[in-house]
Amino acid sequence: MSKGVLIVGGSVAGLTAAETLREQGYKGSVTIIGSESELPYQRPPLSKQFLSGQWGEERVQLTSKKRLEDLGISFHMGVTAERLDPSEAQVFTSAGTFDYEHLLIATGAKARTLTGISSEVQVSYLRQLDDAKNLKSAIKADGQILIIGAGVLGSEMAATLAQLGHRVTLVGNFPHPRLGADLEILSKAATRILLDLGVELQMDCTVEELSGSPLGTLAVLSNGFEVVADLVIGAVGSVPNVSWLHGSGLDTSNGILCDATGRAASGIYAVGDVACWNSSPKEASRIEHQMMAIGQAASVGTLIVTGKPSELPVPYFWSELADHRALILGEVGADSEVEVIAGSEDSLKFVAVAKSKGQLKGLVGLNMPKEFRSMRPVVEKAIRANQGERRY
Amino acid sequence: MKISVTQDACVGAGQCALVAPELFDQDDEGIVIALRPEVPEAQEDLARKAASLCPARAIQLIES
Repeated sequence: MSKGVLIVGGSVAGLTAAETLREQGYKGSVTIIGSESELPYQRPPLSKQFLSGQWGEERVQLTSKKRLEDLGISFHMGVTAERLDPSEAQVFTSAGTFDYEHLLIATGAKARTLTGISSEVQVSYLRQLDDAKNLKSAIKADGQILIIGAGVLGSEMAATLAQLGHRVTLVGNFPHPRLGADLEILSKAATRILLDLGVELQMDCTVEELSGSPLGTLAVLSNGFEVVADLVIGAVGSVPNVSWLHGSGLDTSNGILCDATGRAASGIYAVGDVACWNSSPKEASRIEHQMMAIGQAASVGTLIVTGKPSELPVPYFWSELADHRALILGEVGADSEVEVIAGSEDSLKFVAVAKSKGQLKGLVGLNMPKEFRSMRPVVEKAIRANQGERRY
Repeated sequence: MKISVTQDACVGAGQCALVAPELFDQDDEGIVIALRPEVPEAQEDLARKAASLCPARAIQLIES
């Protein structure tokens, strides 16, 4: 097959890279291989609008066959990359060998599975569209659902399912549910929203035992609580999809280690959840946000064509719990000093700035999108001014 | 170039209004509003950037 740019991974990062190459005038071949039997779709709605049934499959699609054809992007569905040989510039796949001049890896991450579970117990996970379809068909009208993991994904699923009227127990091994950032103001709001929706929260505890019983799966928690569930969902984080890169010589100890522009080796780049960009001289990190995946993909696409990367976005993400939407900009965490500048915590409508050692580091909003946006350029400017050598 | 927005798909990330404030705004719920149906030539690059950065792909551009 003809050389050119080969993109391994057919989700938003891979698609954005391909689109950017064409926007920037790349004339060579652009090939995407994706392991799923779907065209690129959005993952964020899977735990929300898609799970609730509010959106159908067509609504989560990011592109169409026609649009890919018009852009001259060749998309191979259901093809899994099995091995990379950088010395020959070849990727071996379930559908044969692909040569490349530039390789862009966007294989994302998969759901981390719970360990030590007996084979009689079935645990569901949500990462891909087919997971979401399976979950939807596994949910019984009057069933009890147990969700293990109270991070952003577990909390969103709990809210969605409780709003549909299901009985949901959410277990987390920290004191409060976390909406992506470990921030008290958000955790408190999430706790209130989930309790109001009727979610049973079991926090600060772990699952000691899961076993089959005639009535369903019996879960025993470390705080002594027991629940029999018809459906158990694990939401305990993700692991980068790098196993196919063993023997390639790339550093895959925490995703694919790249320099500050996404280069992992000569002619090889990585973007999105699988990539660990060495964005500051001291620290490499994987930022698993949709906007960062898009920003990295656009930057590498631009770099391949023009020789110069484009600017990366300041980290930004959103989360939705039923009808509540939280927006988070910048780098915020447990040590942030938070100050509400509009609305109030009590009303579940607020915008707050987050500072660290007196410097503006982030912006957090709940249900006040307009006020959030009016503050956003100011905060972004301050974050950029304070970021020093850091390139997100 | 013409702009068409799918409000149902918009997730209110606000990227568009940030990169191309003369073309896009958000309503009180944060949902995208196209400020003008036709893109002035000088703004076409900004419109493309807004469309490509939209996490929900809620912005379609029709090249004339």
